[in-house]
Amino acid sequence: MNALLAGIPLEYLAECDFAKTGQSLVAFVSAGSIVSAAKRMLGEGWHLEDLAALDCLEGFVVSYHFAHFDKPGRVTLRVLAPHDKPEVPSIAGVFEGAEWHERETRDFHGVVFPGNPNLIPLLMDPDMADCFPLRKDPKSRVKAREMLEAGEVVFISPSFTLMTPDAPAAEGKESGGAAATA
Amino acid sequence: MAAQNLVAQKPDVIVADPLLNIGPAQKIMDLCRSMSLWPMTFGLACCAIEMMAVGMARWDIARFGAEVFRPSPRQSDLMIVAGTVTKKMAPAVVRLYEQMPAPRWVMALGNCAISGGPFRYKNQYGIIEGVDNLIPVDVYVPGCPPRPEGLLEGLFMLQEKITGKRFWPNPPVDGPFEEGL
Amino acid sequence: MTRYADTGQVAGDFYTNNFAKTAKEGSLILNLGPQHPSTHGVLRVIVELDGEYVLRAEPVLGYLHRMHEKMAEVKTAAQFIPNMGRVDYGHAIAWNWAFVGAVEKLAGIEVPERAEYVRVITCEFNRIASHLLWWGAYLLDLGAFTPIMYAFDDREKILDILQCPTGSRLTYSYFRIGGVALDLSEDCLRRIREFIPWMRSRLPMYKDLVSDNIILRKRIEGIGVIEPEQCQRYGATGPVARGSGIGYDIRRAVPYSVYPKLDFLVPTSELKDARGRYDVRMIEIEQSLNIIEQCLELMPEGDTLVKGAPKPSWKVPKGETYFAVEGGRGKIGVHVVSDGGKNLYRTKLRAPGFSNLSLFAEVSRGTILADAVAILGSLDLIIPEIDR
Repeated sequence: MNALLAGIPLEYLAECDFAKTGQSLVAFVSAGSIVSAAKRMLGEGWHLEDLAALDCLEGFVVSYHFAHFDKPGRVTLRVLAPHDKPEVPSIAGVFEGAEWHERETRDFHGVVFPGNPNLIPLLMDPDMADCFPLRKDPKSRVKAREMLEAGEVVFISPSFTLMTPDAPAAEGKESGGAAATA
Repeated sequence: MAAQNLVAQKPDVIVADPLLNIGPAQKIMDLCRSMSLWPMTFGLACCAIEMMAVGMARWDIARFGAEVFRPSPRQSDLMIVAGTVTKKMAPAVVRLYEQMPAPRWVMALGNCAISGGPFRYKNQYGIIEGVDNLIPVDVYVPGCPPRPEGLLEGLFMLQEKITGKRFWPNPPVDGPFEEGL
Repeated sequence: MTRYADTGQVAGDFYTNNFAKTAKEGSLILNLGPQHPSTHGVLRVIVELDGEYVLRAEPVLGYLHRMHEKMAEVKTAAQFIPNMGRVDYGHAIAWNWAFVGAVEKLAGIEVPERAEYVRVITCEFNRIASHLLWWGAYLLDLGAFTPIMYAFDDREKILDILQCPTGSRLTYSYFRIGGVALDLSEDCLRRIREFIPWMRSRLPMYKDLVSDNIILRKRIEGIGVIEPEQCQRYGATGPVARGSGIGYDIRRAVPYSVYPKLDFLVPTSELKDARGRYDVRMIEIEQSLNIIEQCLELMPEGDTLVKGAPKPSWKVPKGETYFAVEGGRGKIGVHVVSDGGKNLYRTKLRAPGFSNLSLFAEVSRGTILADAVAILGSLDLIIPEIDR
C-alpha cells in the first residue's frame, strides 16, 4: 500500500486502522501535486468516492476519498488550502465525477478549483452563491490535529506541522519519521 | 428571479363573479367541481410518495373523483404541494400556481409545506418556511409524511369548503378499526 | 434559441444562459423540469437537441437542497437521526445505518447481536420496497400503468410490516446509537413469515408480465451503455456499476454487521445497458428475501439496544471515521469528524445518486430524447439524496 504513491511528492503519509477509522492510508499532498496523485490513483484502478472540505483553524483541509472495486481499503488524500486564498487545482480532468464534488465544495466552503470546466453553483441558488453556509465562525474553528486521524506515520516532511502535536510531552514523531523515504 | 421578491407579495388573485349567478346552478357546478378535482403532480419530496400511494389500489383516490393527476398546471385545478419548497424552487412554484386557471385550490401536504417542517432551524438559509408565504393555501394536511388517509381527509375538507357540506362518513374515533392492524 | 428583442439576451435563467454559451447554431435548448411527471423528484435537465437527438445534457440540481450537512452541525448526533430518514426516503433505513454506524465506530460502541439481525431484516425489507418503487416508477415513465399498481400493493404489505417496529411508513428514524428503537414483535414476525412466500409467488408474474415483455425489451435493451471504466471515473456504485459487470457490493467488499454469516448472491450483468441494471435490481429483490429468511433462523434472543446507550446530552469522542453501507442505489458513505462536543464538527454525506447522476451527461450524448428519459430512469435517482 505504501508503494501506491511512490514518486509523488508527499508532505505526510500515515497508515491507519481501517476497522476503527474506515481509512487505511492517509496522505497530505501540496496543492501542486494533487493532479498527479489523482492520475496515479486512476491508473491503479481506484475510484473517487467523494471530495469534501473541512474548515479548520489552519485552513480548509480538502479530503479526497478513494476506494477500489477489487481491493479492500480506503485512501484519503488531503490538501490544505489557506483561508485567505482557498484554491486547489481541479482533478476534473482526471476523474470526471470530481466536477460536481468540486462545485459542491465551492458552494459550501468557497474553495475554488481552477481548471474545473463548469464552476457554477450546483446546490445553492445562484442569487446566494456566496453565502458559504458550512464555513465556521472563526471563534469556533478547531485545530486539524485535534480531529483528524494521525495514524502511524510513515513519512513526514520537515516543514509540515499540521498534524504534529505541539506539546513537548508528545513522542518525537516528527523527528523520527523525517528520515524515512516514501 | 430572486425568491426574496416573491415572498413579499402574494399574487393579486381576483376571481370575478360569474355573469349569471343562478343559485341552484352554482350549487350543481360546485358539486361537480368538488367531486372531480384534478390534482397536479407537484411532488417535491417524501410526501410525493404518499401522494402516489393515495392514487394506487389500496387508498384509491379515484373513488372520490381525484385520480386524474395532470402534469400540466393548465389542465388541473388542485395543486397538492407535497414536500419542501426551497428558495431555489420558489419561483417555479409561483409560476405554476399562476398558470393554473381559476377556480383553483391548493393543498399543503406535509409539515414542510405548512411551516418548513423538520428543516426549520434558527438561521436556516435554504427553504421557504411554509408554502403559504408564496401562494394562498386552502387545506393544510399535517404529518411527516401524512398517512394517505390524511390526504383523503384533506380532500374531504376541501370538498366541504367548495360545496358547504361533507359527503363522506367521519372516521370512527372509537372503533371499529380495520381488522388486524 | 429565443432571444429578447431589446437586449439580445437568451430567454432563460442563470443556468440556461450558462448552458447556451456553448450551444451550436440552430439547435433547440429544452428544459425538462424541475416539475415533470415522473417521480424522481425535482430534477431539472437542460438538453440541447438537434431534432430528436440529444447533443448535450446538463442536470441542474439544488431544487431540494435541505441543508442536511449544516443541520448536522447545529443538532446533536441523536437529534440528527430523523434527518437521515429524509435524505433518501427510498432506502431510509440504510441512511440511518450509515450515520449511526459511523458514530458507533467513532465511539467504539458495540451493538448487541439481536439488534444487528433486526437491522439487517429491516434494511433488506426497505431495500425491497425501494426497488419496487423504482420498478413501478420506471415503468410509469416508460408508459406502462399496470406494474406500478402491483408494486405499490406489494409495498403496502412491506410498509405494514415495517410500521410495527418503526412507527413510520416512509421516513424511518428507527436506529439509535447502540441498537434499534424497538424489537420485532411476535405479530411482526408472523407477518414477515407470511410475506416471504407471497412475494416469491409474485416475482414470476412480474417476469412474465413485464421483464419479458417485448415492448419493455425494445425500450431498454441496448440503450445507456455504461463502460466499467466510466464507472471508475465517476465513482458510480450499486446496481449501476453491477449492471456493467463490476461485482462491487459493500456487503461483500467491506462486510459490516452480520453479513459475513449470511449466504446471498451479488448479481452482476454483462449487458452494461439499461436492461442489465434492470435485471440486477430484480434479482436483488429475490436475494433480499433470502437474506431475511436466513436472519429469521439465525436471530438470537437478547437486547436490541446496548446497555448504557448514549443519552441526549452525550458528547461524541474526538476523531474521525468513514463508514459505508450498501443502499438500494449504491454505496452510502458518511464521514463524521468530531471535536469532542455535543454536535459533530462536520458530517459529510456521500450519496450514491450524486455520483451516478454525474455520468448522465456523458451517457446521454447522441441518444434520442425518449431514450435519455429511459436512461435517467434506469439510474434509480432519488433527488433529495443528491441535493442533501
